[in-house]
Amino acid sequence: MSITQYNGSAIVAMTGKNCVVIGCDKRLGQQALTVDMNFEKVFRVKDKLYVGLPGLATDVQTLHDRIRYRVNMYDLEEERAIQPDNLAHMISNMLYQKRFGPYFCEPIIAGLTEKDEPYIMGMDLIGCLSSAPDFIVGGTASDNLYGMCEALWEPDLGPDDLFRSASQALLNAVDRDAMSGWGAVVHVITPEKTETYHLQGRQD
Amino acid sequence: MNDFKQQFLGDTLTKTLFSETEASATTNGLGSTGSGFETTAHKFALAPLQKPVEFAKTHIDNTSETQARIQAAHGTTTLAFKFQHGVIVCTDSRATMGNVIASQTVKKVIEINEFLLGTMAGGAADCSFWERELGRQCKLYALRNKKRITVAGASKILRNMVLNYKGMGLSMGTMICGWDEDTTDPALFYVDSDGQRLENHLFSVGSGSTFAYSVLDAGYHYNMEVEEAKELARRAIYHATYRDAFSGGYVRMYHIKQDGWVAFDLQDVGELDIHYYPERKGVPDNQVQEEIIRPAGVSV
Amino acid sequence: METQIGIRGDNFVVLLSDKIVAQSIVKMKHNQDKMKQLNKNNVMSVTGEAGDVDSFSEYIEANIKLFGLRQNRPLTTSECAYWTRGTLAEALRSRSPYNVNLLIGGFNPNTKKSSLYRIDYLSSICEVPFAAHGYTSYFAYSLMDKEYRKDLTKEEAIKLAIRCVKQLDHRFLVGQPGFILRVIDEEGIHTYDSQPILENGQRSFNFVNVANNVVVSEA
Repeated sequence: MSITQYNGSAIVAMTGKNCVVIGCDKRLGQQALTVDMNFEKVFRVKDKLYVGLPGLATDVQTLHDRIRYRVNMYDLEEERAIQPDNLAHMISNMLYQKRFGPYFCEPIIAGLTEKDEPYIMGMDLIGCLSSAPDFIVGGTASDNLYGMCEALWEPDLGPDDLFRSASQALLNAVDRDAMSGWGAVVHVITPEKTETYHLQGRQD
Repeated sequence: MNDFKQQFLGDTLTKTLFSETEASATTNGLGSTGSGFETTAHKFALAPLQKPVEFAKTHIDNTSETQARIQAAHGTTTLAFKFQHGVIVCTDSRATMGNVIASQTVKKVIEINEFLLGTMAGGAADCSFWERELGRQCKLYALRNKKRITVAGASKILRNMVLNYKGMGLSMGTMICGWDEDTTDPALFYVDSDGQRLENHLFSVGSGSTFAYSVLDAGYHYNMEVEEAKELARRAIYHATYRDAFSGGYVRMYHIKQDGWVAFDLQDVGELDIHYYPERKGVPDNQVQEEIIRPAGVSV
Repeated sequence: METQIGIRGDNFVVLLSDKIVAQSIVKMKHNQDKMKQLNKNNVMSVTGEAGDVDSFSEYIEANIKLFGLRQNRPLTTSECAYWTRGTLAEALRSRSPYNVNLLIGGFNPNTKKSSLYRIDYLSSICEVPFAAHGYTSYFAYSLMDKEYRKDLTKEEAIKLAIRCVKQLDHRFLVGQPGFILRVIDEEGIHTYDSQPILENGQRSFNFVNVANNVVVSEA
């Protein structure tokens, strides 16, 4: 078993019309043993900017701490809110700093830009950015998520429909993955507000 | 087409008949069981290599422990226990290949005949093949002796069969459960691919077995009524599926009585969770829950 | 092979650990206290590799004491837990990582609430209602899942811990003969020692309060 699969995770980010959605499962495991059913892997960076961290749980937490530190420093130094693409490059750079002893985590960024355009970005564990117009997935259930998202994503979905598509993709993907699941959290980001929904999932 | 079928059928039949007598001579020098039964009626093709066993071991992963290319279905919680009204046999229904859930509706109880049940843990193919073969042997015994084979005898046949392949990578942990003719007590045996055979009143096998054991040990006593026994088994499987990633799906339950076994309806573990913990619903207490409706066309 | 269990109630935490120090096939010591009192309201139980356990827990203990002195207030449970995690995480990426598993439990006198944190040797932290580490978790989690309630009383929580160690003694090949149990609540920290008893031919344990000899048994 790969070290990225030790704790189990599933994260999906999707774009819609002037909105984005990012969600994750809630399992923290140690291989087959489920330790916590309330372990969220998507974190708020700004009101309209979230980062999902699928991978090894210790690195998820360490990276989250470091991202928070760097974003706060950015705020103080630049005196303006960090934009999604700035954050993506910041994290990418942070990951490449550990090129020869990487964090076992493949971050996914989702947010709205200054002009309220949807922005999603994924990267590998040493910071190679990869963008997509539709969706980005990660974690142990990523194979399943690709299939679900290919089937459910449509262009220009409104927040409600996008929430529904992402939630369906997430719940059904984790139902076919042993290492993730036990409920899910989905953040719907629109220009007006960000709403967080906790989804009921199978507990096996 | 019919000719072909005929030919094919004829061929198979002849082979089966002949293999009864030729078996010990054609099993790659593995020898016969010495049990008095013709149990090595099969010849398995081996990889055309210097070390075929090593080859199979490195490339096929029967457990979740190795990182082989071919992931055979595995991962399980099964349990069985004797009580005053017979044997309760209970399993989950998940099969995983690597981390992928290959099926949520696996049947891990093998109905060997109407008095005998076998459970399945470890390699799914190994279990189903050898327990079906066991069924054939039991039927032959009954035809020859005009008497049903005892559970002890059946479990010994299975043990002897798999013992022939010890060290070759078979993976099987099974419980043979039943009720013998003209006896007042049910019977329960554990047989595994190491060739170990044990008799006891309570067993649990598989990756989730430790979780099930804890629940079982706490609630088990011999003088249970049927409903209490069923609930104990259900609860044990449920708690195993909750903590063990490789167990899940549905709770499948059988009750073996003196006049044969009965099967009960499957119970979805997802629904059992809501039944046992209606307040939990996978949501922290201080947050509002948003019910999500799964639209038609997306199956779970 | 070591046993470590934690159970959180509304206003108390129960921590339990075994007392054996093993080296190869030898039991070197039978009465080792594997918990560290971090301050008045917080306790950390530590298991893991010999040497690491000692040096890491002493370092944490001393630093948390120092924090308390410098800031003139005891650190809360979450502060203790997250600082410990940070230290362990930093070491994880260094040349000498610590191989230790931790449970940190405590009571917050300001909020009158208790909390329990589980940190593994990779320094993943989670706040949980109950926890176990190592092989113990395979036997204890399903019992705790089944019996745990949010409104558990102290006595019930101790009884649940007894059921867990009884089950370990029954099913786990290398179950331990003795345990130390601590209850952390508003009044402070109460220490209990285990007392083996025979119950229908099977071993069980009573826990005796070291201060006043009050006995808690499963029945």
